Amino acid sequence: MRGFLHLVLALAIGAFVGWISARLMIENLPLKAVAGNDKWREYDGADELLLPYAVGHFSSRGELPPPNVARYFHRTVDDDGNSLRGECIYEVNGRLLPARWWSMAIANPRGDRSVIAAGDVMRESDGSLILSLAPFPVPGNRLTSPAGSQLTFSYVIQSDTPDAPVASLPALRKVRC
Amino acid sequence: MFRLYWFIVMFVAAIAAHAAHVLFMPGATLEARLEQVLGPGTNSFRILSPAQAVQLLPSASPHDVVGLCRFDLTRGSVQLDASFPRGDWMFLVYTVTGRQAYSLSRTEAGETKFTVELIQAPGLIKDLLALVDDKVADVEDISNAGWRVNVPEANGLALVWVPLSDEIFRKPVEEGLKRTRCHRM
Repeated sequence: MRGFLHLVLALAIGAFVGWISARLMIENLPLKAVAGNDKWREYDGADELLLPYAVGHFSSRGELPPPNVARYFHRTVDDDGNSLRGECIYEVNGRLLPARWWSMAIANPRGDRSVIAAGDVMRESDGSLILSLAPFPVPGNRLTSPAGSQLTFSYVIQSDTPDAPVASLPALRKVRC
Repeated sequence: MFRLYWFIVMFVAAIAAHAAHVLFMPGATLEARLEQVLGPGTNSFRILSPAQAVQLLPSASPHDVVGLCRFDLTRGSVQLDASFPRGDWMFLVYTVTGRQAYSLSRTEAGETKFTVELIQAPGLIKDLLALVDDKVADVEDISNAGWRVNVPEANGLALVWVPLSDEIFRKPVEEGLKRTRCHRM
């Protein structure tokens, strides 16, 4: 009887550890920190060994992974390192990477999201972008934040030079809550 | 005392649960989502509504045009006769579990009307049998062919994504894209 209990306990603990490690690795393994800006992380789906984790990162949410001809950047924290919240206003500010096409999205863990693309924004005279993430209308370019905490901000570009080093990515600072 | 072999049992259970979760759960989730968003029907080309497109492609904006053919290769190859717009587009082939089998952009293709044959890639066992039967040449012919995509699974999606800068371009792009055909060969 005691041996049977040990077997059940060992199987249950093992299954839980295996499940939780799989979830964590699917969530984090395909995202590599961007050199020089560790708040941003870039999706890397090219490593054949990590392919099930890379595909699973999106498939497990019922979404298709980004095209191989695109680069996918994402962040979950502002410049101060605090997680992004739906009730706060943030400002995305900076130069964008050279791209044929780009889009930015903000989503909550339930999958509610809003997306803005290259044709939807007005750029500054020097070519940089100022974009507000806010749950209500504000002057200028705005991306409507969904409700909730632990939001994810993503930036996807279609580039002719997908392996080029990343010069700089926009800053994301909290304006107020 | 919790003996060593219980730790071994625990370790083996952890490996099995980890592998099962990584290999099967994401694919099953995506398959269920595809079923929910697209409904039944295979081997025909259709244009998605903005709501459907945004559910499947997290970075697509609501005015992008997305058309797709959900293919089933179990009864043979499927042919896509593409008629894509002149602007930028991405042509992508995914398996039903989300693995990307092929991608092509407008700049890489250089043309907007072409034909793509989707065939199921021979598995490892078929490859080995072909070697035994001295059919290596056939396998090489397939892998060297031009507009032919070897798909590692029998079911999947051939998808064209046209990013647009404005909603007003949506209608003419959709009209042009409707000439694309997807059918069994």
